[in-house]
Amino acid sequence: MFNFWRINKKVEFTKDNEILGSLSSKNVKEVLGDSSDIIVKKVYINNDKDFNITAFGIDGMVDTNIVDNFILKPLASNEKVLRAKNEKELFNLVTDGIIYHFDQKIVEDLSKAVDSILKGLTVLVFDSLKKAVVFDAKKLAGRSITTPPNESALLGSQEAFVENIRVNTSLIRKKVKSVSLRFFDITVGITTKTSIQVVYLTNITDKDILNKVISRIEKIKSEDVISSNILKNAINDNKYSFFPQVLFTERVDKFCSNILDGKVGILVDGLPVGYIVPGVFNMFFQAPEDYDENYFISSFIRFMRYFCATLTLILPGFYVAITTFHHEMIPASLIASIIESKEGVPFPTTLEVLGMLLAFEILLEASLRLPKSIGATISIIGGLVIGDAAVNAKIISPAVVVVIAIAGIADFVMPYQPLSNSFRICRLLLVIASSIAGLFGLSFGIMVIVYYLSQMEVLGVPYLVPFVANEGRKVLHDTIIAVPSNKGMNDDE
Amino acid sequence: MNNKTEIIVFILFIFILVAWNDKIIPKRLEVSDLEPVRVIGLDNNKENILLSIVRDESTDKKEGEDGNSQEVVSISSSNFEKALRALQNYKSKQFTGGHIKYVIIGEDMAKNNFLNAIDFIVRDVELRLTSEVFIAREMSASDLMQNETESIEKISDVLNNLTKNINSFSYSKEETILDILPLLVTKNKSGLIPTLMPAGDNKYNTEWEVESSNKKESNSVLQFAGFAIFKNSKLIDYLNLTEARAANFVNNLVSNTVISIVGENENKNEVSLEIISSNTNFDFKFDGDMLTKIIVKNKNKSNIIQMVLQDEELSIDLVNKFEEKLANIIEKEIENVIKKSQELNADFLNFEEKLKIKHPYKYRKIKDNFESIFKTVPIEVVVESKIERSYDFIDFERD
Repeated sequence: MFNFWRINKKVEFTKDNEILGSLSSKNVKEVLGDSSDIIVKKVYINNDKDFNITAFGIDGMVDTNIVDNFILKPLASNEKVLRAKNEKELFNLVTDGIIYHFDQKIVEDLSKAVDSILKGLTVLVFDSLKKAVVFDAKKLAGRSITTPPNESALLGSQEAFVENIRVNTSLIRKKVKSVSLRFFDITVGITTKTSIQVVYLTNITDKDILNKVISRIEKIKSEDVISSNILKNAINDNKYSFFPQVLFTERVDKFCSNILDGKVGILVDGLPVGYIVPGVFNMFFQAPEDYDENYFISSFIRFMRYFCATLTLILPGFYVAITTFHHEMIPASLIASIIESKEGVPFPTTLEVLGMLLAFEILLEASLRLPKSIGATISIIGGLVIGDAAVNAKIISPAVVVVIAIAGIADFVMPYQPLSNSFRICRLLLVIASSIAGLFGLSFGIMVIVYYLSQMEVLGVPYLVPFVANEGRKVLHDTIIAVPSNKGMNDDE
Repeated sequence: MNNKTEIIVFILFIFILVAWNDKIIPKRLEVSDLEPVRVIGLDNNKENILLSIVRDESTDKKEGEDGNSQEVVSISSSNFEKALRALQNYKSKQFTGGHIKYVIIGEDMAKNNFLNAIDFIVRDVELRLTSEVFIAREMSASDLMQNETESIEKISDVLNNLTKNINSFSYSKEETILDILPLLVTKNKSGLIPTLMPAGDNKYNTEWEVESSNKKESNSVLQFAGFAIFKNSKLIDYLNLTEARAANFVNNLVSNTVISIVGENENKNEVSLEIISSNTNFDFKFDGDMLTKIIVKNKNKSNIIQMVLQDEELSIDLVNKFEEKLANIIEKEIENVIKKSQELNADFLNFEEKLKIKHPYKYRKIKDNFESIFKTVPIEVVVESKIERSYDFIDFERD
């Protein structure tokens, strides 16, 4: 992630995936080194100093109560254990049920034992047998399930994903009680060993897409998978495109409804969001509450989203084009007020618009990075105080402020932020095209964007489906309007 | 290069080619460098022509400065195009004709050089064919505009208001450049173009008088002054307000107007009727292929909006009498305008067009002689008026 400094510092790193040697407590200790959070506990059976096994765990990740009461206590006090003569007998007793635990595995490989310790499991190493028994006694530290902080909806479920992947899979399982639901576990990240779960339904998910997703994730060779960017880059067909091709959501219901539509879901351990592929254009205009509202209201809101997307994309460029090249298109009363507002402003309209768009981006970025309480202050200072002062100082014209404000507000109507970000980039390009060639430039820019989106594919699915490549079918089905769903109706109804 | 790259390179090449081509892309001009013109006046000026515009001076004024904010700029030249170009260099800002909404043509130009004026507007790519045309009645366009600049009201706003409320009296109609083009391209074609005059001038308007505490103001606003009659692309005569309304009755352009009749009581109190709808149909009578008679049938509906009764009730008989009187007034008005049309031998009421639509085969046989036929053909006017409401507490009831 932040690898750039390595080039300058010329620090040599060795890869830590080459764990060689037989499974023994000494080798485990050597591999893990002298890290202070590693707990190593020698358990002497019947107080015999020559008869011992070693327990490994990571402080903070293992639940010490479970380990003490259900793993160590039987080893110290159970009569059968005390009668055991050697490690083999003890190993058989442990695996046969002296230590009863639901999730218990036997490993014979040093690397697997080390991986288990790093994942927060408790490992009992039997040196003479070169075997280990792994118990899942993890302490589920982390946030509890909360409401989605960034995707709030008035209606519908209020459960959001958390950082713990197992909690997330259980949330999905709770909603989709289907025998077809599958979780495919892949561990990526040479250093981070991040667990990734590919979620799908065996009966409806396209096998080609699923296989592509799995193979692309398995090919990730990065040292760390802490952020989602590596995952997205691995999955995306169009790596240099700034249009989103993966839908992410923190809402469990949205994730599940996409899985039920046959899409492939991805969960990453440590990230409180779920990823849906393939992400196509139309998906980014859908919001969970669309399906809870009356279809007429939903359709109106959906239509407004498309309208606002068009508005935010075109309005600044259109303003530049008509005020610089096609003045006769402006109604007479409006041109009078535009001229009046522009009186005394030294900059050309193009510079004004570009400057305001950049100022808007700066304000947006500044308010995102600050705590919420200060963020509001930035909006007030940036939007009201500086804006008003700039207008009064004749640095920008009020008409431009209005245009950028409308475009900015329309931008926030879009429910998916990455798409909104892409539109903001396109908006800048369209302003530049309009400033070069007026409405011709604007039309040209729009044509290029539409062409680019039309030919784009995500995991073999056209990006603009169902508007393209669907033989005209279902163009208005759950797109610009939300038609009443027949789901839940009997066939004969 | 793969296909995608080739397409992108080709598209970019086209874009660059077009973007730097002045013939395709309009000239880059900041909106703040422009001064849009909304009203122009076209006049004859001895041997030359005179192009006048009204410019808003409010942008030149300092804060707190009060008073007239309009300036009429007139340029005299041998032709309009030269005048227009000269005008663009007159001030620090460039005048733009793309927003011209009203074209006022002076009487002299309308009489002697109307074709020249319209030709200039039609050929100039910047000017709009949807601009509305007015004739300055018995004065030049620049004088009319000059008169208006004494008012604090902007001439374009006044014209805007006039055209918005054109139906309040139905004394005029909206005519765009596009509407009057047939007048120029068809031989012997006649038509009507609305006229304007200063509001304080009561020469052609005896129906009302405007008074304002600001004496200057009451004399400077504009009002309709009937229609100018055009034949063969020349102004030949005018219709006053009542005649203009009658012409509108014939052409089904009356949607609302007020007509007063004399009441039936001893004091002969005036009764005002508001025409709420009017419809005129035409019946053409033939003897063989010969047009022998035209019957103009008008049916109108009205409400009583002002009436003073003395010791009498509003009975159905009284209403019938009102209806009869109203019908007679409208009949008389229409007859007068038709008479004028026949006297001038100018079919500005478009009987020829109506005949062509209703009897296309018979029209084809007489179309070459229509002008002489129209001059002598008897035209009968039949008007049927119906009063709908009296707005009395107890309304009258018909059987």
